Amino acid sequence: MKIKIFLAIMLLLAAYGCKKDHTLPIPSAGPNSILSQTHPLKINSKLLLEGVYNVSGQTEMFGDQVIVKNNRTNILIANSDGKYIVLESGYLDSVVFLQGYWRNGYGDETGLVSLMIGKDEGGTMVVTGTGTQNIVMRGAFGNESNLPDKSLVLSYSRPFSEKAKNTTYHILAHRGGGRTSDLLPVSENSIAMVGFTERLGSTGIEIDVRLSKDSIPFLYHDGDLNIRLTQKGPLAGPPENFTLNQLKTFVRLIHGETIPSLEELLQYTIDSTLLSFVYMDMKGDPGSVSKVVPIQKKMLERAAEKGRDIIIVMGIPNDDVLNELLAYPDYTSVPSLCELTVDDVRKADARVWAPRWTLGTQDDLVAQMHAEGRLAVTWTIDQPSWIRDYINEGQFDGLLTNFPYVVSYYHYIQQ
Amino acid sequence: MTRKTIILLLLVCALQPAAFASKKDSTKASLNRYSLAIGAGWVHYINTLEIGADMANINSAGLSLKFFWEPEHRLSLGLESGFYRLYAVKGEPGGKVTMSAVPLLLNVRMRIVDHFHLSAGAGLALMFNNITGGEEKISSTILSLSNYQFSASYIYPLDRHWNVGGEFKFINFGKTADWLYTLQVVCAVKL
Amino acid sequence: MFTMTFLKQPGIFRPFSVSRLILPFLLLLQSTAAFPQEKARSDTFDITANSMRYPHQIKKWKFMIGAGLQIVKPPADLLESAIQAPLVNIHMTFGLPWRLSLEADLSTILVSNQIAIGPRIGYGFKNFYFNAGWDGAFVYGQLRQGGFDNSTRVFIQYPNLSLGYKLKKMAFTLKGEAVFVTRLIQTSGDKELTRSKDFYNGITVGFYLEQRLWKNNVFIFGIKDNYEKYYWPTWMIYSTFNRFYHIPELSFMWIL
Repeated sequence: MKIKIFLAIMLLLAAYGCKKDHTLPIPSAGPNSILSQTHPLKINSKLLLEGVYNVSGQTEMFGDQVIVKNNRTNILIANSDGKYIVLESGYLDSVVFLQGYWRNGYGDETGLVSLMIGKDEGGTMVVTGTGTQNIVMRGAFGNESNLPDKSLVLSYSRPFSEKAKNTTYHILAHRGGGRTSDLLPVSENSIAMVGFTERLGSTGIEIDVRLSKDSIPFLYHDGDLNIRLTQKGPLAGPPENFTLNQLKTFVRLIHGETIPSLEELLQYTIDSTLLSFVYMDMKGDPGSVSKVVPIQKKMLERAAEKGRDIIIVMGIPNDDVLNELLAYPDYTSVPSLCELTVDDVRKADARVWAPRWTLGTQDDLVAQMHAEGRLAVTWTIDQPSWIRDYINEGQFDGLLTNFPYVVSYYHYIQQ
Repeated sequence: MTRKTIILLLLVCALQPAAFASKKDSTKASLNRYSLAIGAGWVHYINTLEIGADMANINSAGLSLKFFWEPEHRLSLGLESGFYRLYAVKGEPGGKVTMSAVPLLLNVRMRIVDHFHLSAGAGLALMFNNITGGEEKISSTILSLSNYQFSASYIYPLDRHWNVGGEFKFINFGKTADWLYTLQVVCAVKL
Repeated sequence: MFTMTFLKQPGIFRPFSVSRLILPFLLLLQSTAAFPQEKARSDTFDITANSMRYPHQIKKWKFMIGAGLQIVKPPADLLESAIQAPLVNIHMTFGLPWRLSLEADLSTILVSNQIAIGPRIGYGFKNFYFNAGWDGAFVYGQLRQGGFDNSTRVFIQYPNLSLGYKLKKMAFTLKGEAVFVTRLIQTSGDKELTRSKDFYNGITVGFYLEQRLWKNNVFIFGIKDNYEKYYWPTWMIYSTFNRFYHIPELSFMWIL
């Protein structure tokens, strides 16, 4: 009896110890969604939905104003404090249907969203592409997979300002487009994440580049294979200890993806997305610069052949990587992003200067970089109030964040 | 719980003092004794692998080594180490991945009744990951900082110094969220 | 991966209920009490006067202090940047009149430090004792290395209840706390990253066993679950992980 009790306690402890911290599935309307009976909206119609909208109904959830922005895969609605809605769209007759899910990016709350634009409330205009944008989206949102039951009404307020539309502001998403720990449905630094991140408002990505034992650049953030980022497998220790083949055979990222090589990921980014900026954060494995440069060059050539306007830069996070780059023949031809001082930027002839955000907006230095024909982006801002201030008051050309929908909101809401 | 079990338990508890009163008080010990114990036996890894689970050999032999300070009361304080193989996963032909661990734990042990102890401990562990076959051998060493053990043991004194018994133990390795249990024969010498 | 459901499968374990655990546990305690303890005939030791966690009324103006380690298992999300080292813990109790006492607790891992202090009022019945208290805590953290220049200042309230049961030479205590953060400021350089106030931060439940290790020196073994959103030793990553986690702790303490 005592042994049984002891065993039961131990097994309960084991169950407790093995429990995954969190998972957060995306709620789905399922196969009975109204969208299965609709026609897909054309891109021009989707672009007509873009703008700043006033919120009525349950304003305590989404605030008073949101932005609606079309992207490659979906329509994003974002507010000022990290709540966002990702919607699919379709129409029947002159009625537009929008269905998807909402999420609090800073917490674990999520649920279904269902909206509709009636025929006389902008539906005809959106479907035919003629008329004025007096759009009203009516519908509801719910919690988790429950049917939407809380009223939500979005009324078109104004288009994006010329400043917001005409300025290229790089919204760079961390870890290949989003962190695993933010409970996204795909794993960080995976090809699936690169395919996913645009729906969150990203226009570029930061990726973490390491060098395998057989000298192939691959993507992984942490210094060891661990249960935070990977499913439990037989390998452990620094990922650089293993060949890429071993990593692909024995390691699965937390949502089941394989670890991608740098080349695979860049090729996918060029061929299958509209992302326009890739920031390769070199994790500092000795010899990695000389292995990454040929891949970078090859992929930039591929992008040029396909007419893709994309920036792919090698990050210089420290003096070791800087010195390795400076030792590389014809290093000035290597597009790079330097996180160090402006003098180091000039030394490496980096195309982009990327200071830590806590150093301030540094307007004078940013202006110097602009005068020299370089870009300036900052990393990594996650707090909405600081994102707002850096967009409104700073002169940076973009910023790196874990919350691209917040950056989208503050960029597109600008007057 | 059946009535029979309850009656049996009550009977055992009721008879315990009487049973032991008739014996020499074997729990009485001199102050500040020390003991050194070595254990060997079966190790079973609780297979929570998501990759390679079907190809994993999760049973092996393990060793433990313990040093305890045993003051005059029920509690003892000690250090424990050992060697445990968690699993061996067969991969491509001839290839094998193994994971082993050497914990170093601070243990608190409590004598519940004569010779029967419960113990808990926490501390560090070095974990060794090896790939052999196919390509060259690759070894990685990982430091796991949050590790626990919970165990029950029955150690019977043969004479003033020598003791033998058995131990059943769960160990958790925090870094990899791995659990194993082990059943060992233990030989202890009181110093 | 284990789940609770297997416990209900016939043939493995019978249906699981708390009573199935409690009765044998009490019988086990009874059996330990029944055994003659060392030097039983001349041993006048009473755990009540020598315990710190057991919620009895400590003698008026008596001061007790204990020192120990807390070993924490942080959740995987926090492993990326959490510093994993045992917390060093000092606990103090001071007896006051009118069933009152004052408790103070200091925990540190250098980059994170908490001092908590608060009164207790206790009542007892036979071998059971109960107290209620309220601790106010201040957390100060600072990390200036590896390119970081972060610091935090936090005020936390811990209303708490303890229930203890004692045998002559050992005591068992179950303690529960609610955790309310009243003010939280986190800075990086001269930038304020986070400023929050007045939020419910979760609960903690701890179980403590106190008994002598040698002579009359009492050792405390504890196991505690922190179910919290803001776990103060991992303050560095709070602003981006705003969710509840179970964080278990094992603690070892000597009463000095």
